[in-house]
Amino acid sequence: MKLKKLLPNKLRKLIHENFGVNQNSKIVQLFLNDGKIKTEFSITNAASFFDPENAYESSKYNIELYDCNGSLLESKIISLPKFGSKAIKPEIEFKCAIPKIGMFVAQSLSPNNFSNKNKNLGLLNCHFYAFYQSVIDKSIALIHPQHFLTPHRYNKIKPYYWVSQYVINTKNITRVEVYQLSVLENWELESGTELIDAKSNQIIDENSYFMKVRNIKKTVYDIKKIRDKSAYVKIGVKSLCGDNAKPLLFIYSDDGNFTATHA
Amino acid sequence: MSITSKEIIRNNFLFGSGFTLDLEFVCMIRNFSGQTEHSENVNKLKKAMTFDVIIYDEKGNKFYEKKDYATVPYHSFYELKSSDLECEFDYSKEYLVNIRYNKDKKDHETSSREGAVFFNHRNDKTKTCAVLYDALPHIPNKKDYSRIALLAHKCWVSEEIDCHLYFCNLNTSIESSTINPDPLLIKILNEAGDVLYSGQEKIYLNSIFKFDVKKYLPKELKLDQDAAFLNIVASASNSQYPIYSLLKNSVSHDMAIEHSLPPYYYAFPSDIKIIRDNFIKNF
Repeated sequence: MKLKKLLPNKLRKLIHENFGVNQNSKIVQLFLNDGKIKTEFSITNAASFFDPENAYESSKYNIELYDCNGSLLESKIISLPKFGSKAIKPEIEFKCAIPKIGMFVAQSLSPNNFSNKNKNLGLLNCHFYAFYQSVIDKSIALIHPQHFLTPHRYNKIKPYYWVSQYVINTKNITRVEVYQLSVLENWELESGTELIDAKSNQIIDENSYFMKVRNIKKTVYDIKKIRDKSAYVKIGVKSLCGDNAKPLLFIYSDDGNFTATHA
Repeated sequence: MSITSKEIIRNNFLFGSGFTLDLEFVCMIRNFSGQTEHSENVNKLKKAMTFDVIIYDEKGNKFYEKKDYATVPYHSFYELKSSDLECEFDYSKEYLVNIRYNKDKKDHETSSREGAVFFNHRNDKTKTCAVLYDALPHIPNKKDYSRIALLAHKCWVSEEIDCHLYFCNLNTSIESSTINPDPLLIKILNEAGDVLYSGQEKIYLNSIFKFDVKKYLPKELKLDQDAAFLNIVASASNSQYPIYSLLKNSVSHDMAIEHSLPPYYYAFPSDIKIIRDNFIKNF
């Protein structure tokens, strides 16, 4: 029999409150509002699809906005109708001063398995997408959410050196912007990025930075400068903060347009 | 009828050709992992890898196959372009492209199971998008297929932007053109949860099914310059569908793309069967 079935609800709740486990996670993604790119995030009332009988007429979500230094600017609770969804535009949804670069966080507050209402639903993370649009031209990008805010140190995995699986053909590319988000809430770290020649595997350029909790660091690599010598490049990260805490790449082409993807 | 082998899941990468959207594909086939160390530390014993290219037409017929298409040395990559393939494509049709990695089981740890594909506009090479995703969605219980094929919420449409959903439907146990008896059920919902479209599609096994969202929207729904958000939900069994959404501006040709994740990645019910049954009841 599973351990969770043996533990009485009160004890499980105690563990949850003290150790941050068995709780719907706070899911993270990059927010851009720098005058060149605007962002919106989609949230769906997934609980109502999984459990229509219990009719989560207005599932609640906690949404938060942080600046690039990791300071919480505002948090609020929103409700979604049954089978409903919402495209959240932070500049409309929040009353705070909107940062140019920030971190959007969403957490489902749907009843979890501590609730008597539904013991089957279990944990349910908020699975949203980020839609980036240029305000200058018609560039668009779509990226699924990144890691969850991690309130405690990793027990098994420490931040590790990592190389993106993308091999980028530099033809027609002028620059690559790399955004790394620290999703660790109690752990500061030394990190940085590398621009690697994908043929020779030699480092072309690199930087280093110190990341406080919930920090966002942006690195810009001038690809136009190196593309005659390096036809293919890839991006390395010195300290990845979690398996899905991959950096975001905004790739700009000769015509000034961008596409973006998780690395 | 089904694929359940972990080997098949790990060894295949699937995507649509993108031809009906005037796109060409460039697949980057890598033989290294995200945790590969610097070149000076690479273990010289790590092996080179070959890969097969198999392409299916719209009705699930094998259109092209080349085993051991190329060899990728360890810690290196191969750039496979649609334009380099020696076959006569009909560019008005979509094809299912299956890259099959020939790797020993013990070598899996040294190379990623994620595949990467770039789509470039045929006439404007500066317009590009790229997606990186696991070969086939992993399901925790190998005996079952998830009925919940898609609970996506990454569809934006406007006057100029359409959302094209690609369902990649591979079943290696089937050799001849066969329609999957289990239809794919699809709904489009607005933010209020109202159903704007509900329908079902019978799909050929080993083919691409492309769902062009704007085609299915009610005529009275007026779209303007600002992209409107819609939710799309799909249900099916008997197949595992890697799914991705490709947003494309039909005027400027700008594109965005992202893969879907099955609910397994974000929902952790105490009893998956009850949750699945509830979901089906809603359809």
